[in-house]
Amino acid sequence: VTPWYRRWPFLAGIVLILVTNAVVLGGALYNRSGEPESRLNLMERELQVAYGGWRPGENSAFTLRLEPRVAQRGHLANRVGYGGEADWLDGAKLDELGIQVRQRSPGDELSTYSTSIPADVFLVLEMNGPAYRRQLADTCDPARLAREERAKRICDEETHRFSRLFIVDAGLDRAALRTKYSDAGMYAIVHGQIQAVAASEDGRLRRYGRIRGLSSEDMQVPPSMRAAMAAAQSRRGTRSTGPFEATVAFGRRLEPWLVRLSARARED
Amino acid sequence: MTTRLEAQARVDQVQAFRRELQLLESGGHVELSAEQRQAIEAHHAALSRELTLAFDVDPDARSRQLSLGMRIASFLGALSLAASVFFLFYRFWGELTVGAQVSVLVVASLLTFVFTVWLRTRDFAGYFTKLAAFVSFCCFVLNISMLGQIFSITPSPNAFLVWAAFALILAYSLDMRLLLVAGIACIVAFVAARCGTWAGMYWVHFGERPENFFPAALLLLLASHFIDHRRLDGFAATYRVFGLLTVFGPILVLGNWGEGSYLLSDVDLIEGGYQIAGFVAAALTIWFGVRHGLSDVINTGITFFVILLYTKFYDWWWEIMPKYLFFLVAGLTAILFLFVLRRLRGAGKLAMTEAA
Repeated sequence: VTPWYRRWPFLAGIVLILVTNAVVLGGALYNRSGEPESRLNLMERELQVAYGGWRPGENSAFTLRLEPRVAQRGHLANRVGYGGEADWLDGAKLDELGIQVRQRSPGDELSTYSTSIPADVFLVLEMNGPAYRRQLADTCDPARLAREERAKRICDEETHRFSRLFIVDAGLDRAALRTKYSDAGMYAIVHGQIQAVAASEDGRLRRYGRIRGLSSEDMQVPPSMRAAMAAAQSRRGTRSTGPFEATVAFGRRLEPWLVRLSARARED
Repeated sequence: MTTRLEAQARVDQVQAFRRELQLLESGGHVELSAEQRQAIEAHHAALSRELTLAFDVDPDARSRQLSLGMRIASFLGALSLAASVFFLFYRFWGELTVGAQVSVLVVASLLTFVFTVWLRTRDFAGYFTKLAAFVSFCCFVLNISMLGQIFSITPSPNAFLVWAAFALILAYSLDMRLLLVAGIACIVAFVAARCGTWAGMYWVHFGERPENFFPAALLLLLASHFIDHRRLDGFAATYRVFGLLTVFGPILVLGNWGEGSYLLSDVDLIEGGYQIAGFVAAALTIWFGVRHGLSDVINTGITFFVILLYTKFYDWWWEIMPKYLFFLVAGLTAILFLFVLRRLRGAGKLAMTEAA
């Protein structure tokens, strides 16, 4: 009789567990090997606590989430999020990316167009660069401050609190994007998804893109960096943290990890 | 005799023989001599004892009822223990270094799996083994998904493939339908995600085009037909039922949400097409089930036929009919269904009589 530890299910299961773990860990190691693809210096403005709906005390891990924004067409400011209509993600850009809205039947009304399926592309994140400066200049425009009551408050938020991390471009060729955005300290390339949308505007079809998400945007804070997050931990679940600064590296597979995290004096 | 299923069938046969003999004797159709009766009873008693010891089968109806209770307790225990492992890890993993987290995850997968396979040799009825197997599966799922979180790894549909493989190894070696269902769910997710990727979609969104599920359904139905499951209790039926669910679920969705289809046509046309396809497929399923004597197929077909029908009733009449009339029509339809099924049942009986 074959002993239990020599039977095929046992051997197959052990091999499956070991091989799967080796592949996953090998991939993580490969991502972090060599010089990072890019390295961004961020603050609590760009990294929010991802508490994921856990009740206090149920999840002891501490996770930070990248909070990129898009400069939106026709909007004053949006603190976080990329769900709106990015000003650069127009019909021409969608053609370049090969993402099309589908017309259900030729000659149909505009309403018969539908959204596309979300496609995987490379997205370019820009930290504290021209996109943020444009947004800041637009928000804090003296004429607007004089005209609108709430503009001063939003200008103040834009200057001190809103994320400075902007998604500024997308492409299918990672190397071409890196050539175009060569400053690895300001620009990171990540995997993300874009969906094309068709809308009727003045009776004409207008296509634009919507960013559906980043493939990898959460980072676990290792215990060695926890001390810097003490203020944040004491207010878990609020998504607010004490001031800190962090360096986030993006590896060969464009997956992020925290390289450095330290507390920072409060500006005000 | 090598499996518990075969042993249980043998014991059931003995029970049926005893009941039938009792009826024959009370009707005066047969009369055994005392020696014959003693010889048969001694043989059956020895056989039952031997099979109960070797395979932990249920020798009588009372034992069978208790076994059902144990199966339910084992199922609930498996779910609860798996949830406990999940929450236990989340409760403490943040306190561990990355090295310790990885070690705990890998070792937990290995240890629970080794323990499950070892327990199998001690627990022939399998109640405790099945419980341990489900915890082992949960540990492996946790293992891979948590490594993904720890290292911010881009999610991949391949995870479903390895989870499916692990679940199927446990299901087939332990004759465990709960893990077969888990394995089937992972296969469906993997195949649907891959189909979505081939269509140009980022895999996470595979549910946004329900047609992605059809190839998985076909695979499951082929598996139920071509893989020999005679030695495994209820496996073929599980494949059939989940294959049919994977067909009818998306049809039901697309019959009411044509925008979700890959087809480039008018939305109303797509919805109408899927509604007709749903009725035809449900009717064919019932016919196939009746023809091959597969009660699970018949029941799944009937269930979806009724759901599709009631969905249409709702679309057509809910707004315009008084509620009492709407439910009267629904009730009368159910009665009509009973008549149709009784006819089918009668036809089946007639076929059996003629065959006899």
